[in-house]
Amino acid sequence: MITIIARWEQAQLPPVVEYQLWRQIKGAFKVNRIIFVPVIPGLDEYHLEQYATLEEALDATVGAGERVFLEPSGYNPIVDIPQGDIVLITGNTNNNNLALANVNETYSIASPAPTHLYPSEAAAIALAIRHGQ
Amino acid sequence: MSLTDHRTQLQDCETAAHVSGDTDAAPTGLSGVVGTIIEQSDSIEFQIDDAQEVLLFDLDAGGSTFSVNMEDMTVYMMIKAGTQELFANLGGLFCFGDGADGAGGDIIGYNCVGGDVPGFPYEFGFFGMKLDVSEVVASPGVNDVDYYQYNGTEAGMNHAAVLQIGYGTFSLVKAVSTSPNAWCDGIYYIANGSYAVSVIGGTSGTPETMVDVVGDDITDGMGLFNNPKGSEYGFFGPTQWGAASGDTYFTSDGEQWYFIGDNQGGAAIGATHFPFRLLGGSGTNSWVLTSTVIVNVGTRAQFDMSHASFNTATMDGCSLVGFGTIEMPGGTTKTVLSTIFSDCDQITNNGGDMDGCTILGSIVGTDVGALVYNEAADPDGTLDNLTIEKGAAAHHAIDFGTNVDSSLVSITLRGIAFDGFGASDDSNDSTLRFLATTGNLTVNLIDCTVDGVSPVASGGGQNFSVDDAAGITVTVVVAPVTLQITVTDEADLQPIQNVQTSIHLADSPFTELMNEDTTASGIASESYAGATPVDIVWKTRKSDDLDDPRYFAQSGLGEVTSGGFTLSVLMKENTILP
Repeated sequence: MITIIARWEQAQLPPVVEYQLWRQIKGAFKVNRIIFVPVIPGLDEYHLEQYATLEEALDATVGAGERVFLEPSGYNPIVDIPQGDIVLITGNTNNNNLALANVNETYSIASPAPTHLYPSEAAAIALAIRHGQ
Repeated sequence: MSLTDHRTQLQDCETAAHVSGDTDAAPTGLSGVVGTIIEQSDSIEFQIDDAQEVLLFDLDAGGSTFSVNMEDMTVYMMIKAGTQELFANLGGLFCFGDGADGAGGDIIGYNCVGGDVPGFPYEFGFFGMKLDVSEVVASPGVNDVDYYQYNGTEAGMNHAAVLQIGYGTFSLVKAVSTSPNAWCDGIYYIANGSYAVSVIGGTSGTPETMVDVVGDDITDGMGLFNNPKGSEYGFFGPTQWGAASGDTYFTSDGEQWYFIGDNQGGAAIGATHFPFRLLGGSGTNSWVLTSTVIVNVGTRAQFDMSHASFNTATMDGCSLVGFGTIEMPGGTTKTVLSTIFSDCDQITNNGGDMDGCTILGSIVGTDVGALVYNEAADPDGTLDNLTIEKGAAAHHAIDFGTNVDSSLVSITLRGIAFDGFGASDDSNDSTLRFLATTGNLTVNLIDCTVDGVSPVASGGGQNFSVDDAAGITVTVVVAPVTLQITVTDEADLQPIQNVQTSIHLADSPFTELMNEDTTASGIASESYAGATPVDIVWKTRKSDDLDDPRYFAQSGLGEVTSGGFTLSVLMKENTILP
């Protein structure tokens, strides 16, 4: 079972567009559940699971799997992401989640330049490698 | 005319707020656009992307939460979606959730239809899909082949308390922007073994027709009858004609009906969960079919025309293909005549005339009859002129039940053509089987044939057999045919008496079938109970020294058929002889 907790990329992407990006990842990798934080109003017709804070989202996924924080400065390489049930947690342009993660729960993607990926891009790479690429 | 929908409508798709938050086919909304509605004034529109996504409802049509034990239900849904994946790729799923909205319960979609499995085509591109939940409870199959786990596991799915229901699919075309590409307009369920719909109404002067039935179905948006083209009609749910009260008059002539026991492929209904019947009551009922072909695909429907209170049930020149067990009507106003039953299960005659019917390729099992007759009356006049061809199993043509006993003394089978049955008595494929346990009974065969020739019930060349091992002793009498030669003087056309006539088998000249002198009427005759058709040589002779006048002898070839042999011979006086 795969659960994703994503911070809305409020700074640079309209939420409907970002939702569509996540939706494709959900379909491609058979993600069971996607949770967004914070709550963005006006998206009722999309039936999204949203929480006001990341803390609330983490509380709602206790027991759903091992926590995998995708961070540019993460400690583990993404090839070490567990194969069992996981909760994949991403930040956004303005916020990382390091304050809520243990060091050994953080994972990073090696890239030749310091440009940060959008969360959905990072999640796609991580899930692809976990799937056996 | 009216249709009575006996199903429970779980969702009418008139309120967007009834859509569950566990839905991921987004966005969703309410559509009142013509072409996206088949029932009431709105449908639920939603967007499916190129991934498995689900539309779920957690509230019923009244806006209340629900919990339904679906374990022995068949569920129906009306969907419009044009880009479904193939059935083999989980193209159209009936979905259930056993948790409340957002509670993280099991959400499972069961493979039902697909791009190559059309379900039940309907108005405006909608299609009906149905799932017998008892089938997936018993045999859920394999993950990602027979079902899809949107959340949780199929093993954890509690079918006894379904809290959410809906549709899942995988679109072959990636969704564009926020435009909807699918619509839902109606979800229903009914207990297995029940009848989903009743057809009632009509008058004796203006009996109802399938045009009326389909028109009413469209008016109500039920999705249980359709009319794909011309005089072709589809039946999607278990159907009954008539009711406990009120009149029903119906007629069909020259139509083609299809009973859909699955989704035209895809998920099939359970073995006894697709019945059809006529139901009589206090009113007057008439159901008259002429030259109508009825084909069953998928799970076989049980076809029951036997209800005692149904006044008139008639089929003439019809054809039934692929049905399950068939109960024929009883009584003098209920007849099934000259109708062909192909690839059907056991047929039970309940006393109504079925003259001229044909039973081909019965699917009954070993050591049972393709046709059952268990009336305490001679079937002469009821089972006349049947054709019964054996199916794949070693089975009998006719099972005579315990009511056909020694009290009848004898029964007559008239004009029946038996084809393919065994020649040995007391065997699984003996032609007839009798279930009475004591006494004696004579079976007269008149104008019957076995594999195209006359029956031979014992001895050499036996081709007709009886299984009376249950205890009754059955004696078969093959009624004889008549051999007759009439001789007339060619000159004055008067009958000639004392002409020696004879008939021998053509391939066995010493086997004499007749050797008689003509009477004063010029007629010689004999009875014959052997096999037919058979080639013979006939001879007429009156030329002894004492004969006066004397005639030229004549002879020729002929054939004794199941109707016998009749010949007129003109003889010429021999004036040359001294």
